[in-house]
Amino acid sequence: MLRFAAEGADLPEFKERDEALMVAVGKGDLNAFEQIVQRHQTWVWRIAVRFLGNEDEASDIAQESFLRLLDAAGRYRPTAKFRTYFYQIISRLCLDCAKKKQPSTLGVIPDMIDPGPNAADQMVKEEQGARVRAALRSLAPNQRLAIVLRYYEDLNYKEIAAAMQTTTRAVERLLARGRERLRMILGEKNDFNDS
Amino acid sequence: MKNWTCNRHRRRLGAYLDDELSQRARGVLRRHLQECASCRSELAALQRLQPALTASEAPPVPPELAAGILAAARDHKIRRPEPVTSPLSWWRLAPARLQVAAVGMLIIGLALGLLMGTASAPSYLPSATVAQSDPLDVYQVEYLTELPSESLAGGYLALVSIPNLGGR
Repeated sequence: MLRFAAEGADLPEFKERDEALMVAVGKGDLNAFEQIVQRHQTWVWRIAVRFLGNEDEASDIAQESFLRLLDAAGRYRPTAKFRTYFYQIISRLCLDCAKKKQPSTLGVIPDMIDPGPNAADQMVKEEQGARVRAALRSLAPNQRLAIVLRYYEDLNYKEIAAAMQTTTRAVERLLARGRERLRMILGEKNDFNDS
Repeated sequence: MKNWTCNRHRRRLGAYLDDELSQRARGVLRRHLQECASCRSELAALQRLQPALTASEAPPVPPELAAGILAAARDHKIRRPEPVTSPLSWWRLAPARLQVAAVGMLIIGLALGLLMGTASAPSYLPSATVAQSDPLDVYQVEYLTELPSESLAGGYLALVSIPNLGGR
């Protein structure tokens, strides 16, 4: 049975690191797990909601990601960087989820644009945001994930490759195709083409 | 020719923007961009993609998300991957006495088999005897002699009847 009890690693400098928390979680310490949830829920949620375009599904995937992390904690070795490890979990879950559902069932994220100086500006931004989300949804799942990790999480190609368990060259190709399609969809109104 | 060169460079413009090219590839692409207005325009369009994509914020994390995850974790039964069952896993589980008895039985069985095998082994004809014997007797095809010599059986008979030169 899992329990809330502090059983972290002994070294103070190691104690607060994610890797140390994972080791503690592996020993059944749910306090350490709670710290991991508090630290990482934002970016996990952000990837899921950007990728899936639906808040309910994003919540489910975020929760499932943390539970998978809990399952894997006993086998986790601190030699693997925690973030890389977690990116792999969330990436796999997102891609599996996309495989299971039809593109038409993709929901729509409510617009979360900061209130502008006037309503007209806000409406324009909302419209742009909705078009970007629709364009993202039209991408193939692996292209979409590469775009989300690159543009919203600011990962480099090596990190994206590790998360998606592929090569940097494959990431470059996914991003190139994804960008091309995004430009094609967003191009007209956003005036992406100079010519 | 120019189109082909441009296409080749355009495929790598994103990596150029992301600073993911090797120094050499970056130099080559930069020189091409200095000469090619069309590719410069393509690069500018790609640069405008970033602010367009990141203009809208992601919805905030639902306040109940962490609590939901922790509640699920408390009730969660750890799922561990199924252990791979080896064909010899029963052996590891067997008590030591049983293992010793099994090994003993195996050794006795092998020794008995060896003993009985050598005692009743058939005595094969030496190769020289086989070579010098009548092929009709050796291959037991005497009945074929009654068939016409031009038949398939006759041909087979002629073949096996050729004397073994190596046996001389």
